[in-house]
This record gives sequence, structure tokens and C-alpha cells, in this order.
Amino acid sequence: MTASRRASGIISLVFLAAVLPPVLTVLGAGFTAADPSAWLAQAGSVLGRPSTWRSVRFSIVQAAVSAAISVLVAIPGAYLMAHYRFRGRQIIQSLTLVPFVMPSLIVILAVIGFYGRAGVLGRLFGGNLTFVYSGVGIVIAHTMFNISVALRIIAGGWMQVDERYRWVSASLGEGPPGRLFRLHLPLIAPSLVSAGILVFLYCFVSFGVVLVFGGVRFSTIEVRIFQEMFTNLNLTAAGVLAALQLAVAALLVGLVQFLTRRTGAGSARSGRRFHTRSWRDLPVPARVLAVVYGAAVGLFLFAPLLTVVVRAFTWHGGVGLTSFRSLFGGTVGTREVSEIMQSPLADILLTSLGVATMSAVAGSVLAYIAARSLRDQLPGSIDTVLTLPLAISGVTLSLGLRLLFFGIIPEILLIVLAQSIQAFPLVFRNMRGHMRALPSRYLETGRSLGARPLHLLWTVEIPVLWRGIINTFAFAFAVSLADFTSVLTIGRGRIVTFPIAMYRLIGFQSFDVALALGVLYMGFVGLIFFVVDTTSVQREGEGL
Amino acid sequence: MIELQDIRRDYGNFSLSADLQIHEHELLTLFGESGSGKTTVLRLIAGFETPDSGRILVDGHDITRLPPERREIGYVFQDYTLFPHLNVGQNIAYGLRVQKVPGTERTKRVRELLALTELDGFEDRSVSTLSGGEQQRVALARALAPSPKALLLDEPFSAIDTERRGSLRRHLLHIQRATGIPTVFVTHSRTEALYLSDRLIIMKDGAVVESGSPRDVYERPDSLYAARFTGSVNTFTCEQLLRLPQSWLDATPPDKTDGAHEAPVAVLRPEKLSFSGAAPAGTPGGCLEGTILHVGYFGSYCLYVVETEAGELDVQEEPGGTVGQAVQLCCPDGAIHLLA
Repeated sequence: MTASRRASGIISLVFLAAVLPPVLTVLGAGFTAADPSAWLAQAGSVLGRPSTWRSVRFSIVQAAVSAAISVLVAIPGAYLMAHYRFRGRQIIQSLTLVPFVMPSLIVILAVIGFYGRAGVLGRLFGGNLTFVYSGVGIVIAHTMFNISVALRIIAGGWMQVDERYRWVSASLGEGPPGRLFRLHLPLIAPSLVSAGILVFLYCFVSFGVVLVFGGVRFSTIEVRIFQEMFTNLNLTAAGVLAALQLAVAALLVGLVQFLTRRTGAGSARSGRRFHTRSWRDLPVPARVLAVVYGAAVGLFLFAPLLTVVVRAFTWHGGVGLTSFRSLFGGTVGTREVSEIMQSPLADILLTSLGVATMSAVAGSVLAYIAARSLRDQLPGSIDTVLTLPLAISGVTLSLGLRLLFFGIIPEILLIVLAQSIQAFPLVFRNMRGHMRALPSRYLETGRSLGARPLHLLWTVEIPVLWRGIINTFAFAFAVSLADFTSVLTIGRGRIVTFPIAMYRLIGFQSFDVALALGVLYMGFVGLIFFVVDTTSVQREGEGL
Repeated sequence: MIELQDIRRDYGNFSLSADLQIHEHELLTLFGESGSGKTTVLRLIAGFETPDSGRILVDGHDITRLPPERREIGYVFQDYTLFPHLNVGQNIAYGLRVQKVPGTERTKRVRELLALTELDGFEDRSVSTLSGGEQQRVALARALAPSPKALLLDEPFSAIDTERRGSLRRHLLHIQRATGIPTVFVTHSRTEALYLSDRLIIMKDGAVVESGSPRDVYERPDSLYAARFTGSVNTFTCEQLLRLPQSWLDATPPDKTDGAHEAPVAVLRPEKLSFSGAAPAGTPGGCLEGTILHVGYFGSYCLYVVETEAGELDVQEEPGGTVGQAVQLCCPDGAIHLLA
């Protein structure tokens, strides 16, 4: 067995050991060996309910529609990002990621504020717009979240395609439209499929968005698991639903792997040569179209978020900082804001940053170890294993950890564990991309000069990879900061982070104060993205 | 015919100027060091780059501003660039599909090209299962399929191992002769340049240094650069020439008394020299005495460095000579070529 295969094996085992027990705990919840027939009867009744299958159907449909729209909208942007140089390209690339790392509640507030009853669109066009309080609202919010994911993966796929294919095709008489359908799309098909499935999975296990927009009529399996566990206190039903959700998700991940391998993306990457072209190389009509497209997508992504900012600075029709002042010791009605949030702002800030820091440290270190061990290996089955958390719902994982370790491990550490596992696929991918900056010959040279592994780490690896390490850390930090599901499921209200505080303010109808908190949060994320942006190097052929 | 008329392309740190023609049925080789501008010429003809000034004409039609897809010029890259999502047959048929050639005709043409490139039966093979040479032949067939007006080959054999290059060269020559397609071949391999070309163009620093048939360029180069680039060469200053048998010269040397007598003015290929007794019959115009200083063994021949009164000379001869051995050097009349 080669060293890299051994490393794959060990990493897979460790990872499965962390992921499977909590999941199996939830799947088997309510099962007692003493009376298996009762469990079977209960499980059968859950599977027999029409509402179960309605939620399965709705989970699939909303996720499929969100994924299809995200991918379709992302294709032109990905093409431009992958092929052309223009001023602000890097900033735009970073900005598109902002909605992705926003807590679902901010995106929800943004969508309601823009498309909702008293929203900007309603005021512009008149009329009482209600379409957002349905599956449409869910799809809009999911698309906002995930366009950046699709954009990055597809652009990454395009950057892997040797540009000489385009030249050959042109020399054979193929014009731009034919080239798109006969050459580009088949060559980037694996990226399209990957992006589609990744977005599908995010939407399939989405929690907060569906909880708010879905109401009673539209609920996904994820929301049903949470309701069965905490509202109906039906462990068996929660377990059965979690198993059902996992089965559907696993089926889809398997399908992706199968399709990706069949399309033979690897050969497109051999001998790859890729150079971005100047923006001026685009014909003028195409430039105009690109600008229109960019403006439309920008409006779609940022106009709702801008609404959040504007409304946070608005109080009873006027401009002011009252919402912000309320956060620092004000009241809403008769109740103190800190009482509604169930924690003073300073504590929320401290808890949020503390949890996110711990999760980001744990996530980055784990990602570094895994990416470092697998650096010489091509993506393969190990990636399937490490992608597993994407197919496991946040509620299931968090619930499992809580059921397994409640009273043994402090809740805050369980949250850190849950966040690290959940964010791992993305954080690992990010770190793995940065690993390319460390060619084997650097390490081999160091070793031939007598450096031991730890010495190499300090003297070669970290100095070469520091940008990537900071970038990965910042990314993991942002993802953890936005986490709502694990904190709510494990903390059960005792641990208050930004998203939980916002959730409570919204529950108390204190929208303005919630928006002010959202703006503060965005400030934090802006700072993080400044770090991400300044530590980013133009990496080709990479997804998130 | 393809004409490049007064083409200029400036990249800031490199600029290219070219003025050349590629005739019907001709296989023209652009030969030069890396960075000499050979590939840029190809890319300009293909339309992957646009010149800053000048015109490119194909059969009298100006194609300078035409996009690559409307030029009808085939291009083959050094590492094949076969579309990975298509099999061999589909790769070859790609250009025919673009031209909307009907299915049966397309299949027929693909079969013809497979036969021409000796790849019969490979139609359904995945391109990833082919050897380098096979991939290159598929790339060639694909470029030829839409019957282009010209074929551009950018170092097509450089990714192929040395043993297989010989047969591929023969293949290419056979295909080019069979189709008669004007072809521009870019290479930095001396063997390929001399073996394949109807006409050879030597490029340096973005400009054409010399042009002519391989034999002319090799045996009667105009410039020292071309002489050196096409093979090993002995060079002579005016002063050295005076110490050689004058029958060896192909012309009267210039009278250099202006201080430029240090510059080489004439060249002689080492294989033209032979040790006494081995001189070509009928051309013993005179001999030169010398002593072997060094022997370089190359299998079928040795390269000797011989010290003579005209300086040290490289001599390509059969193995057998030893260091310190006294030799008499012979040379055919007119073998020393005076540079232009």
C-alpha cells in the first residue's frame, strides 16, 4: 500500500468515525431492542403518511428548481470570470460569495424586505406582493445563496479546459454559438453537474429559509425532522425522516460521481493551457450584454441585501441610528432588546467570535492535514467520503451529536464539532486548491537537505502556503459565523450567536433591530472578505 | 497561395515582421529557436492573433480580419488537443459536422482519412487509449477532414519519442503529397526541417533570416546564423582563407583590409573534409596537413578536431583516427562557401 493510499484510508476512517455515529444515533433514535415491532409500526406509520411524501417531493422539487436556476444564471458569469480579465474581477468574485456566508436569516430578511408585502418591489410597482411567502420565496433565497457556489465551480471547470480546444474548433470552422453547444458545454459538463448537485444538496437540507418561507404548507424533510424532534418529541419519526433524507441525498451524490466519471473530465485537463484574455477582446455587443447580465445578477444578489442596510438606518420613516442604539441597551415596546435576544450584545459578539474562531481553527487544521496528506493524489473516492457532510443534514448531524454527547461534552464544543464537520467539504476543497502552490520538489529538496517533517512545516510549508492558510481560515470562520442550524439544535437557546439573536428579534417582530444586527454582521463579514480578497491568489481550475 | 504582406505584430518586448508566401502544394518549414516568432506566424495565419499592420491573403482574398472559423485553415498543435469528450471518429468528423456534411458522406470521409493516416478500425476508439503517434495522426486527420485551404502544423512531433518520429515524418510527407495541401510546418528540429521541407525559412528575433530549399540553405547559406543553425560548420576569416588551397573556395574571397578581417566570411561543413585517400574522386584540388587534437565518437562517424595552419577544423570522418595522428585533409573543389 502506498503512503498516499494509506493516508487516504486513515483520513477516511477518522472522518467516518466522526460523522457516522451521530448520524446512526439519529437514524436509530426511538428504537429499543426490547420492542422492535413497536418501532417498526411507528416507522411504517411515518412512511405511510402523505405529509411525509409531500415533504420529500417538495424537498426535491424546490432543490432541483433552485439548483437549475443557480446553474443557468451562473453559466454566463462563469464564462466571463474564467475567460476575461477586467478591472475589479477579483473583488466581484469575492463579493458574489457574500450572500453564501450570510446567515439564512439575513437573506430571509433581505428577500422579504425586497420582494415582500411592504418590500421595495411592492412599493415600486404598487400592489400587495405575496408571491414570496411560498415556494417562490424559498427558491429566490436559495438562488441568492448559491449562485456564487455555481459560479465558482463552473468557472473553475472552464479554467481547466485547454484553450487550444477553442482554437482547434475555430480552425475547423466552428463559430461561437456552435462552439458553446458542441465544445464548451460538453467539456464543462462535469462542472455543471457538480455545481448542480452541490447546490441541490444545500437546498435539499436547507433549514432556516424553509422554516420561515415555507410555513405550514411548504415543509422540507429537514424542517420535518426538527419539528418531530423538538415540537412533537417523536424520536422515531425524526430518525425515519433522517434516514429517508440521507437515502435520497446519497442516491444523488452517487449519481453525480457516476456521471462525472462517465463524462471523462480528466482527459480535458491533460496538458492544460489556459490564459485569460483582455476584456477588450470581447466584441462590443458582447460587452454590452455582459454588462447588462452583470448588472442584473448584481441587482438580484445585492439589492435585497442593500434593503437590509437601508432599513436598518431607518426608524419610523426617518433616517437614524435608533435601531443600532437599541442593540446597545434599548427597548422594543416594554422589553429590553438584550432580554429579547436573551443575551447582551457584547456576550453575543464574544460567543459568536469564540465559536467561529474555534470552528475555523479546528476546520482549517483538519483541512490542512487532509489536503497535505492527499496533495499528490487525484480526486477520487476519498473526495466522495469527504463530501459526505454535504449529504447529511445539519439538523441530523447536530441532533446526533447532542443525543450522543449531551452532558459529556460541553454544548459549545459540540457546536464547534458540528460546524467543523459541516464546513469540512468546502474548507478542504479550498485548502486543497491552495496546496498547488507547494510543489513536491520543494519538500523533496528540503528533505534531501536533512529537514524533518516538522522543520519543513515551519520553514517551507507555512511560509509558502500562508496566504492559503489565512484564506482557508477566513472562509471557515465566515461559514461558522453564519451557522444557525447547529447552534439552534445543539445549544437549544442557551448559546446565543448572531443568527440566534436575529431569530429571536424576528420572532418578537423587532425587524428593525434585527436588521441593525444584520448590518453589524455584514460589517464583520466584509472585514473577513477583505482578508479573503487580499490573501487570494488567482487560482485556476478551482471551485470553492 | 497564402501571402503575408508586410505583417507586423508588436508585443512590447518582442515584435514580429514577416513578408512571405506559401505556394500551392508546398510544404514550407519555419525553422528557428524558441521565441523566434515561428508560432506567431502560424497563429496569425490561423487567425488566433491579429496583426498590427499588413495583410494576409489566401488565394488573393484578404483574410486579415476574418475570424479563425471563417478562414478554412487547419491547425495541428504539438500535443494533439483531441477533444476528450469525442471518440476518434467523432473528432475527425467534428469539422464536417460544422459544415453540415450529410451523415453518409461524413462517414465516408472519416473512413478515407482513417485510411490515409493508417488508422483503419480506430473510429470508435476513445482518444485516451491512443499512443502519442496515433493521437497526432488523428489530429492531422481531423484538421484535413473539412478540406482546408492550408494546413498549419505547430511542432507536431515534439511530444513524440525519437524512434517514432521517423515514421510520422514519412506519414506526413505521404499525406501532404497525396493531398497537395499547402502546409506550414513549425519546428526547431534540424532533421525535420531538412527532411520535410520543399522550402525552408529560418527565423530569428521575429524576422526571416533566410529562405530557400533545404539543400540551398544548408550548402550555400547566406548568413553565418543560417549556416550554424542548420548544422555543424567550420568558419573562416579572410586571413584564414588565404592559407587554404584556393580551389576549395566557391568564389573569390573579398579583399578585407578594412579591419573587418576578423569576421567569418566563409563556411565549410565538416563532412566535406576527408582524410587523405578518402577524398571524393576527381576533386582533389589540394590538401592541407594537420594533426588530430580531439576525437568525438558518434557511432557511425567521428568528429575530429584537426589543427592546421589555417586553424582548427572540424572533420567528420569514419572512426579510426587517433589523437596526435598526422593527417592530410582533402576537400572537393568549391566546397567552401563564401557568405553573402
